[in-house]
Amino acid sequence: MNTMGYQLLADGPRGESPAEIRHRTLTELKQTVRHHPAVDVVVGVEAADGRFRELEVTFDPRILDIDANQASLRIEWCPRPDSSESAYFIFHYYDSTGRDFGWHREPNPHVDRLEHVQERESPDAEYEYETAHFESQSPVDLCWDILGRIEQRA
Amino acid sequence: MTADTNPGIDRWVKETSAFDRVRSVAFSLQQPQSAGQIADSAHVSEKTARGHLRRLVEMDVLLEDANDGAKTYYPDPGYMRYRDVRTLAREHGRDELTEMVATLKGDIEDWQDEYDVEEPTELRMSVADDDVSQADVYDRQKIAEDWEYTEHRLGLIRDALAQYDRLTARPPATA
Repeated sequence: MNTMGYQLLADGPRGESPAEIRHRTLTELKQTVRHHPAVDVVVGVEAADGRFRELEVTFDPRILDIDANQASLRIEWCPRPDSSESAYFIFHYYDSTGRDFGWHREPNPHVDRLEHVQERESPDAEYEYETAHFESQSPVDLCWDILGRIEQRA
Repeated sequence: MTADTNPGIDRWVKETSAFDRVRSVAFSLQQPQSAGQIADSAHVSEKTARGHLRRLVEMDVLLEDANDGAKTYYPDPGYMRYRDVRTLAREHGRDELTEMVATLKGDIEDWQDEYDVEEPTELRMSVADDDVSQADVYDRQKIAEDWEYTEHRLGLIRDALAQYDRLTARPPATA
């Protein structure tokens, strides 16, 4: 167990650090999204150089039934140092037509709730924010919920 | 939006087995949970979840705790760590792993230089400094998390290098 740098952090369940929970969760999300028929490839971003800090999901635009050449989803999962707090996350969709929206749970000065949807019309436009609600605390359940919302919105 | 009306959840149920979903929910738990809670997240009956969870406990990949008669489940951190280290050794050569160590150590050195601190805990504490703007607070917390994550990954990669031969060994071919 690598304990370097964790002196001031409360350990999570079973002594796991937030970093261990983050890695375990990203690994499981990477596995589960592969089962979605519209998902072509899932890679850990910069996995080849050892970083693997987030996931990049590539969709098949034909199966997603959208008018774009490329469509992707970026996934981040960041457990809090206090393990009683819900993890922050980002599930953000973007495609080659400029569609760009995502479901986030993280602090953002533009919106009161941690949980929100943000969308912008074009890469140089400002994001617009709406609050969002999620039924599940399970990362994989949440991921499939959001995959469904992406299909509806895209 | 409830699970019943969400096309994403319907698809998950259609594309995967009950065992897949229970295992997947259990392996990504953020807190220990009961079979009933895991069943809700995996969209299976509690009885089904109980059966699959028992098998995963028997396989030594999940831990079961009984407090006040209520059983909860959580991934075995020792198994999870072994799985990560083994995956690194199987998917990468020794040279690649050595390069990863250098890359990650470089990242840590960059953060040490940029923020003038030695450890991510110091960076977390630095958000209370007077000259750190509100906008920088969240950024620094995120960097501290990435830093701690990077140290965790370094530990895994070093373990993969140290045990490389054993982790990549194959059973002898039969004649």
